[in-house]
Amino acid sequence: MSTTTEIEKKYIDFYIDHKAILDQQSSDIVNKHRTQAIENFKFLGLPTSNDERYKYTNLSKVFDQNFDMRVGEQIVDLNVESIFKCDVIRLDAYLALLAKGQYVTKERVVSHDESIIVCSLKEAAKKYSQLFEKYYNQLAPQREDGVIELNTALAFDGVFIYVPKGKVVDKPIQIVNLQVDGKENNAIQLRHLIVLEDRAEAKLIFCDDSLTSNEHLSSAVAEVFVGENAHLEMSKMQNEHNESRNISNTIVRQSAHSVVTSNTVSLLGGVIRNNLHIEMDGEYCEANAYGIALIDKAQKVDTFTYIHHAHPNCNSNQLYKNIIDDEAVGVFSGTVLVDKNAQKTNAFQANNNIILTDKAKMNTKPQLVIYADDVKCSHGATVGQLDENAMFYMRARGIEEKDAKMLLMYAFADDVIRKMSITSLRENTEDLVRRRLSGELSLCRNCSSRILMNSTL
Amino acid sequence: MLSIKNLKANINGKEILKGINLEVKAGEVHAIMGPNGSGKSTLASVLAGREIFEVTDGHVEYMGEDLLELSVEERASKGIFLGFQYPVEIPGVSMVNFMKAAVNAQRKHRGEEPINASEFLKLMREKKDIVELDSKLTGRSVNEGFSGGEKKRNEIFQMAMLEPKLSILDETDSGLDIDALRIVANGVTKLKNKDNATVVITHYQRLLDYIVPDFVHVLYKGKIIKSGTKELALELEEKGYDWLIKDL
Ligand SMILES: Nc1ncnc2c1ncn2[C@@H]1O[C@H](COP(=O)(O)OP(=O)(O)OP(=O)(O)O)[C@@H](O)[C@H]1O
Ligand SMILES: [Mg+2]
Repeated sequence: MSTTTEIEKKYIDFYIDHKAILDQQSSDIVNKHRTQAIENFKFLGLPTSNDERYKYTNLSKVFDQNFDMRVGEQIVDLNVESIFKCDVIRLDAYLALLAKGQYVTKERVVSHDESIIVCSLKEAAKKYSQLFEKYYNQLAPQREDGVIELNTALAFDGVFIYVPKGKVVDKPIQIVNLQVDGKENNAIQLRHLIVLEDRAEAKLIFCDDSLTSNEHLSSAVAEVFVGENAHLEMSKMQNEHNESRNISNTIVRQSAHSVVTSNTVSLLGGVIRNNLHIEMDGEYCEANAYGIALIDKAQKVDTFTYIHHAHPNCNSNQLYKNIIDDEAVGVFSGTVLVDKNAQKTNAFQANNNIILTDKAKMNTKPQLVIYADDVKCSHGATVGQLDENAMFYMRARGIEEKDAKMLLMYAFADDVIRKMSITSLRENTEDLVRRRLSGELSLCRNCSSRILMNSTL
Repeated sequence: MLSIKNLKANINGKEILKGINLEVKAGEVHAIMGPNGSGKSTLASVLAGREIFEVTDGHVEYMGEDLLELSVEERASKGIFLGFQYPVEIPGVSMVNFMKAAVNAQRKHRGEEPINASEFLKLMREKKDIVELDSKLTGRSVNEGFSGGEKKRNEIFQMAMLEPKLSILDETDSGLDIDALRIVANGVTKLKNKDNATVVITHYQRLLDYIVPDFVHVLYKGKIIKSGTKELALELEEKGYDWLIKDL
């Protein structure tokens, strides 16, 4: 990048002003990456639509709001734990709570095995420094993305998850990132580090939720290491509100014979940008990436995936779907890169979209880059309306038009939702989607009541 | 029950129905025959309310109402049933949810409460037996992966579930093997009573051995060019359509 823009300068100044506090409140391991990261940020800048990866979403604009940036220790004034009881779920899950860019859960999260760690990133950097240092910021810089570099420069807290060799977490771990600030338009950075050693197994549910209706920006970076024969399923439930800006970078490195599955459900959120990078670092890896977005009004959901088949005999499957109403905009760009030596690769990618109005828009760019010759790869994208014949067939049986539409849209979405392996999460998602499609607000029942509560606080 | 007068309809500006006249009374069975492309399915679709066809002229009265004023779903709820020539596959929508939505929509229209779960299952079971529909089919998505014959049976199953007043069966006999034909035809016969009426569109006399029509009509180039009794079907079977067309 040649010149630094006003908005970039604002973030750089912010960094300069807050570096001392951040350094003081963080561990050396996190601190020692800041300087290089801010230099990288200066060089890379915030991505604009000139960056091919961000062609349809100018992130620079997304960051250019009068956000009150929050880093370092914050007072979380609400007793979030007591008012928060996610009914995303009667999920039988371990719960870890994040608010204002901090990990706020006090007690032990995973109870059944002492060696499994779920805690604050800040704490982990100090308490498990050797382990932490081995992984922290080892994947992020390779992405060469200004947003990620800014996150590293300002990194303060997030969740740290460590599952040692052969250990299986007996229940899903639910990580809820809650917007709680009732007053200012704030911006936060979250940094997660997830390590599954060989043969370890875990299911993680990341929920982005909100107690306010303020404009809000959250930028999260998760580095994820998955050992040999390990199994990881990550589900992301994005359900904030339409003034929120939610940017996530999930960067995965998986070892031989491991299985990684990512499910993303995007319902509420003004601008959502999800980057998923998966690096296959061994033979016989399996990566599954699924996503469904239901968007309307002025919402925008931009999905970017990058799966790198660097070794032979790996499989990847991608299925991303969008239902786009009103003037909402969907974007999918997915790249599958198959190296020359990655023979016997199976890579499938599909992006299917339903556009409900003339103004709704979908940009889709599936891409296979294949250097090996003995591979099975396919990709495809469709953008269409609801099937007219099916609509007529249902109406000819007496089903009202709106109900027929709903049945079709639900069927379309459920194709993705049923990939979720956690039964209660899947059922809850189905319920949310059904209510969203029938025009009800898709907030969980508790969340809507919590919003009312909060407005009186 | 149904009175069609001088009905004309277009698709994309092309006239397909060119002045149809037809009277159907309760308790009657009418057969409509005619060469490919003559407009039989179009007539059925127009009666069911498919919007892609534009009605340009004529009048259709159904049970004392102006049929053409009603939406597709209102017509269905008022007892019009279209058995599709090409039943549509709807992946992801289960037969059970589909049927439940249909039954409840029609109940709602009549001001009735939604059907309860056990009643619904009982109804499904009962009606499946009428057309000997395999239970594994009702466990799947609507028509998805059904064979041609299974799809047709499924149409009659739906007809049995919904108990329509006027059934228009568009080539329900095509693609059925001999046993299936008998089962389907017997199903239709079982559902027949003095208060409902059936219009069967077919190319084959053999269906009419089972579902004996009171009237047979020949549709040709968007017009009914000949009407008669069941003997007309036999005559057509023997001689084809040429002699009728030549007479025009
Ligand atoms: N969607 C459409 N667009 C254009 N033309 C159409 C459409 N549907 C039907 N037609 C035309 O209308 C005419 C009548 O078709 P229709 O399907 O009603 O015939 P049919 O009598 O049912 O024939 P078959 O015995 O083959 O089922 C045909 O010429 C057909 O090509
Ligand atoms: Mg036809």
